[in-house]
Amino acid sequence: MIATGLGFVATAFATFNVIGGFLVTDRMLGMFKPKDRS
Amino acid sequence: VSNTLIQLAYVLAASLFILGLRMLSSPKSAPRGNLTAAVGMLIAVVATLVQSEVVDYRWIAAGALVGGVAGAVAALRIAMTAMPQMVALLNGLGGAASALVAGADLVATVVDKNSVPEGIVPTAIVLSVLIGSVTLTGSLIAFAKLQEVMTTAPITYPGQQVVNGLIGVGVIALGVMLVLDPTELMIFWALMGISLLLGILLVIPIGGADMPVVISLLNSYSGLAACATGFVLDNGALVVSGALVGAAGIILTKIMCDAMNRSLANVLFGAFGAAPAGGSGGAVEGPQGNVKGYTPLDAAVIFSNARSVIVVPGYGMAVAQAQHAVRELSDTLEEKGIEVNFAIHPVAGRMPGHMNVLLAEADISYDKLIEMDEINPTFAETDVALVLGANDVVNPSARTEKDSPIYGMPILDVDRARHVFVIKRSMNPGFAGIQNPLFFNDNTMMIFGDAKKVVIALDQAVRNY
Repeated sequence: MIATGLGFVATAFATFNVIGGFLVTDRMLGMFKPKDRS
Repeated sequence: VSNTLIQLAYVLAASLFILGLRMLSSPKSAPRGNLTAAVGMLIAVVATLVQSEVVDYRWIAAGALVGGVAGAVAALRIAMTAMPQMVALLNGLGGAASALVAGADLVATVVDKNSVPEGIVPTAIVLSVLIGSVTLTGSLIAFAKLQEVMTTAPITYPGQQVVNGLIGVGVIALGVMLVLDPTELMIFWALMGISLLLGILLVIPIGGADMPVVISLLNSYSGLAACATGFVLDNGALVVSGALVGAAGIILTKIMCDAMNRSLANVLFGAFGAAPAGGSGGAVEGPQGNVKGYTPLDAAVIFSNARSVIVVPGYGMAVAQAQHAVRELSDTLEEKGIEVNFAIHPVAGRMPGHMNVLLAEADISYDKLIEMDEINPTFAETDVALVLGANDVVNPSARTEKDSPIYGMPILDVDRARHVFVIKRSMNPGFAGIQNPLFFNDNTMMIFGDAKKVVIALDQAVRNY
């Protein structure tokens, strides 16, 4: 029961980290553009 | 599914992480690198779910849904200027997840299965909960300092090092006790509590200007916590990915410390920017002299007659959201045949790469962003250096004043340019609380005002010149 609760919160935090991390990285990288921006 | 297949999936995931990291080192391949690592993560997650025995699937689905939606919303809505706080939060949650998984595994083994963790597992649990908890509260304090919901100044009190030292001893004692008797759950909770406290106490004496280093270090910690959790769960992909994050974070931390010519110990325990140490009466003795205040119209004359301009962005540009206005100005100058480059100090802003991200957001080509060592020799042949909300990273006393707290820190040599314009809200000293003699130089012209408004006015004035 306690283990399940801890696991639930851990899963939520870890998923926030993974999804949030990849999306935010993608957003930042999407802004880097090379020389010609015409 | 056979165990061999799961182990193979972990090897594949780990390979994709390494490949992804490699691709992240060039702006061209970086988006694909990020995607590659994400695919690796998906494979690792699926393999873990197949192997999982800790929690039943409904709870995993519910947790992943809640965390995934919240993470996606936060990542897509966060302002680019608030990115340092976001990174701090992500590190903290990563550390928390590791500590909680270690706890869940211990409780499941001791209570649910009435068994005893064996071999390396108790040690790994101790490391995971210790490092993970410190990462969580340390990151939350870093978040609060960056968001400025708490003071950005170092918080110090007499006997601070002694208190931290005693807590450190307590952590070690509880850790050893838990390894000796892993079935005593109260020791686990006590260890978690004291580690959470330690995270707070370790970060409050560190000033806001040093938060980039702290974030990088906590990032490394979150990786080490994940690595320890990988040993708890016997999950190879987690061990490898945690070790990669831990190593990458510590390398970046080292690079940033070198860029400030300070040791990591000095950053962590030096209470940088605290009340001026010693001195007679304790008053700060700033450089004296005349500060010349100019208008954007005055500046337009000098800009229009320049052949080369170097823009030096700092945290002030981020606060004023001036990056788009800077792009406009840069375009206007280039249309007049003036060469424009951007000088990036390794610790400018509040996060590694902070300036690069903001300028990229404004569509400024990344090959115009030039690192310190490469651009410094060119200042002497540059007509105009435009300092935009940067302060400590252009402070010449780092070269000359042996008493200065930033003495020895490599700086951008803007004072060697023919003309220096400094856009600043007021004469207040920078984040480190140190006066800047650059402002009093004969070739320095101050333009007071909001960075964005001044740059827009400057752009107009140059256009109409």
